[in-house]
Amino acid sequence: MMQNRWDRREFLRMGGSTLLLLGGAGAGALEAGDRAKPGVLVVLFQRGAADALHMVVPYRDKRYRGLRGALALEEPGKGESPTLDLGEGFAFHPALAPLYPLYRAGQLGVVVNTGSPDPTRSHFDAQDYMESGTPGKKSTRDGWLARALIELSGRQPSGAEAPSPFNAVALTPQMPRTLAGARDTIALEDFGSLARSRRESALAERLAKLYREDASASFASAGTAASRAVTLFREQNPLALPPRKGVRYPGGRGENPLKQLAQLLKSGLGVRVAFVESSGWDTHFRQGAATGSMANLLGRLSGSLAAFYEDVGPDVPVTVLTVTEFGRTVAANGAGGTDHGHGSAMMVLGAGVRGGRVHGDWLGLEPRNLYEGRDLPVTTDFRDVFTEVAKRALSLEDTSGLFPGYRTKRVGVMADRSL
Amino acid sequence: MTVKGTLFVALILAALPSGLGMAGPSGDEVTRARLLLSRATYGARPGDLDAILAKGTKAWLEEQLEPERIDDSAVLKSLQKLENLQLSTTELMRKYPQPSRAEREAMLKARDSDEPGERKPPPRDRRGLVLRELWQAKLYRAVHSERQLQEVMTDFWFNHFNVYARKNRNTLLTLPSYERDVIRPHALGRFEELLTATAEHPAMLFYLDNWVNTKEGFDPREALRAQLGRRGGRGRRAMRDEEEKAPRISGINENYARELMELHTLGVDGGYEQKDVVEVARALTGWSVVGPQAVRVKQRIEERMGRGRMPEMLRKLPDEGSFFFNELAHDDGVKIILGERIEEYGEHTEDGASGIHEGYAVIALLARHPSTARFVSTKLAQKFVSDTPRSALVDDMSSTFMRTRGDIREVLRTMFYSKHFVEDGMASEKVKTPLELVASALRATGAKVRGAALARTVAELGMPLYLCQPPTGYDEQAASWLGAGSILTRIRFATELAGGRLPGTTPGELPTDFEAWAGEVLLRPEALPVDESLTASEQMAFFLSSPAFQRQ
Repeated sequence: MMQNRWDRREFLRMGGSTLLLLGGAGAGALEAGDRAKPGVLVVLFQRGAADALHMVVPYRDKRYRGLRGALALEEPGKGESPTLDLGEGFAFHPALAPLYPLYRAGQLGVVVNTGSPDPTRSHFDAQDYMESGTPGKKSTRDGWLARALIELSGRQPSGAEAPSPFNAVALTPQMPRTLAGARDTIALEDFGSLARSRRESALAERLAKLYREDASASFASAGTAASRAVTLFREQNPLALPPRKGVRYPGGRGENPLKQLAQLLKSGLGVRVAFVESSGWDTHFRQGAATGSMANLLGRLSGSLAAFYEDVGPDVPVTVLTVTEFGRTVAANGAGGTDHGHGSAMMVLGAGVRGGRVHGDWLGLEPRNLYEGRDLPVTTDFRDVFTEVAKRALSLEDTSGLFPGYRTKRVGVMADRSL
Repeated sequence: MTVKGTLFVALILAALPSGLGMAGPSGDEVTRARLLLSRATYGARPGDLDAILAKGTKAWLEEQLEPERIDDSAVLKSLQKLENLQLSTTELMRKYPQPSRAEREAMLKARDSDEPGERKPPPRDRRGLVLRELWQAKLYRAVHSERQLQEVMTDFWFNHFNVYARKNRNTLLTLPSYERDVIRPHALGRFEELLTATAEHPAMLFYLDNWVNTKEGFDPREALRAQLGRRGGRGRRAMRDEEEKAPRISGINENYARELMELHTLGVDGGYEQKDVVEVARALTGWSVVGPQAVRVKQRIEERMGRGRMPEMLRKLPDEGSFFFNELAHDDGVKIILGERIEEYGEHTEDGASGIHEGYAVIALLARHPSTARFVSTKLAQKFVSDTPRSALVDDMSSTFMRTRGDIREVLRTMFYSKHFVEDGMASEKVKTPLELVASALRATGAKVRGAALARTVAELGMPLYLCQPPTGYDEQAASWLGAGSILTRIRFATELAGGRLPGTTPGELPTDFEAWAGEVLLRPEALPVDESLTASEQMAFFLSSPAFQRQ
């Protein structure tokens, strides 16, 4: 298994060198360090169906240039804005440059031709299916990540402390479908709203007491959690934490959600699962090639992710999974954009990732290998990726409840701990 | 902080209607009145308890069950200002046409631009105004309408037959009509008529994809070419421009058929199988909506062929945004649903084909099914009585449903007049949904709805109105609405409302006598700690955030 950065830094932080001198260190000590810091899973949803061929470019495919027309990107090492070689004939869009060192260092892996088996090209339906984790079934009430949380808390020994009220956080104005039905979840676009004035906090604390002492168990447990949330947030005061020295998050409208998420993770709030989203990926018109509107989106995404990873990385064993509801047409449309397609690509970044390589079955761009002759096919079911990533990131023992009735297949994007 | 001077007051005494003296209503009648105000309205306003007791709970309920008897002219007059809500779907589609490619491009460009110089405010998608008007009207009615039960039931049925406003670009424009012409008029009417009206409405046809549900292998271009016949050369040329844009989707789409049975009628355990889903979907093939493309094709063909020579089907094509039955897309084969041969079940058209009548026959079959009676009765009992209603109550309601062929008003009478209503209703632990919390807090404090901004608050509390994605609608169960995050958000809402700074509202006056006031607006008046160190608005915030006020 690959030696990863977490283990090493964690080891040093825990005084590994002293342990080594005393003997009996090595793998055992690393494992202990790993256990002491529970893993965190961050799901980043690219809403609007991101164009996979503008993220992971199959530059060596001889049909690539013809099909993409003005959208085609340069080969690695060539032209004014070269793409970044990923090996095996793939390359990153130049705007993904901030993530490229992480790929080279084996921290970041890519899965191509992944998505949902459901044929829908409706954003609404496809997002719904991907978030509930039940393609084709609309009436599922809870989200797949909520079910992962149940598995996570189910493993707590009885009598153990209840999960943190910040067990799951979503930096979104509303609770995302992905986390629907989860307990101990707080969704806020800006967690700054939890940092109240002294007087309001006092009121909140007194109310929480009223809830805690309520005769009804559901009020009491919610009140207990709320009161812990307020107290914990005040104690930890996460939003006062500056980014790690030298880390710079890209600007743009509003607060960068990943910057705030890093603050939440670096403080001791007990976050295990987080959800963030980015919008604007529905690039029907003039998405641009090396520069332009999609390059801007990619630049912001990769800059934020790289900053986030550097910011929290050394302290928190974090795994980030980027997802999108479907891919886009292989060929450019008449408006310099791409239309709704089928298969797309996902990125996985962090501890335990078999990074530095492109995963998934790539079938090329020959028309007969495209879905309905026009879109990238789905050769890896998104549920396989989600299961593998959640299992490793959260150290889940049993993942059968995540996607009920679905039998997952191994993708290989995460290192198997048991190997 | 210590609680100074905690006063425990027997609020029931404080709240007894003062003007009624010794010969006042019985304790049971007072309990019933409180429960009705809590469950059959959006919460008691100060004074409501006196009013309902003066009238008598039975007379009050009968009036609420026949809302047209209640004068609501002041509210209706205020709502006239919301112009989009008066328009038909066709009118709205004309008023808010799809943005052109150039307009959409400009919007995207403005949004994605990183150049500071280009950071102009993006052109607004003016359709958003329709959603804001829907929000404002819904909240205004919930808080201010005198026809409270009708509003509660309108919300109940909208949620039961949920439609998500952002399913596609047009769905939002269908919602004013959906709520106004389908849901509200039938909210206390007959279930079968309500079900039929939802099935035919473009809102539902878009939302659950039935508008693209066609027989296998249906090709709209081929079908139209066949209609144009040999003389239609010019018409065929007119079509060519549209061909590139023609939807390629065809074949059976089961989405609506499945939810029709699972969520609208029989319930998931209602005794149907996957093959029934497919058969229902086949019976409903061709139930569609006139889209902009069909209108363009019709116009071009008319320009070139003249109206007289157009195929009848095109001549009869209704306006954009209307329901229409596309007989060319309908699957004429035999269908067996829940053991019934469906084409023998309903009426037939002149040429002997059952066509659209198969759909009506399916709807009748499902609407009259005992599983539907039970499923709908259970949901109603969960809404008004208890999250876990006893089966004796559901049995009574179901048999009323069957006996009256789904008369919703009668089912509600059976429920409200049942002895279980008060017994189980008082014993149950129902938690207000965000909409119920916000509306009841405004009613209790005499605040007024001023604008659509209030809907953002409801959304932050977890219930974006008209934007519930799954067809299940929002959950009625208490557990869904209680969590650390939701309590903290509820506290923030209460603090803003009590402080007179809640967006979209005009605050009311703070009461001078908190105890008497609390006794009037709570379901179960109970001891509340009164803290003298709190200001009046803090005391109000505390009260509105307390568990007692979250209970319904």
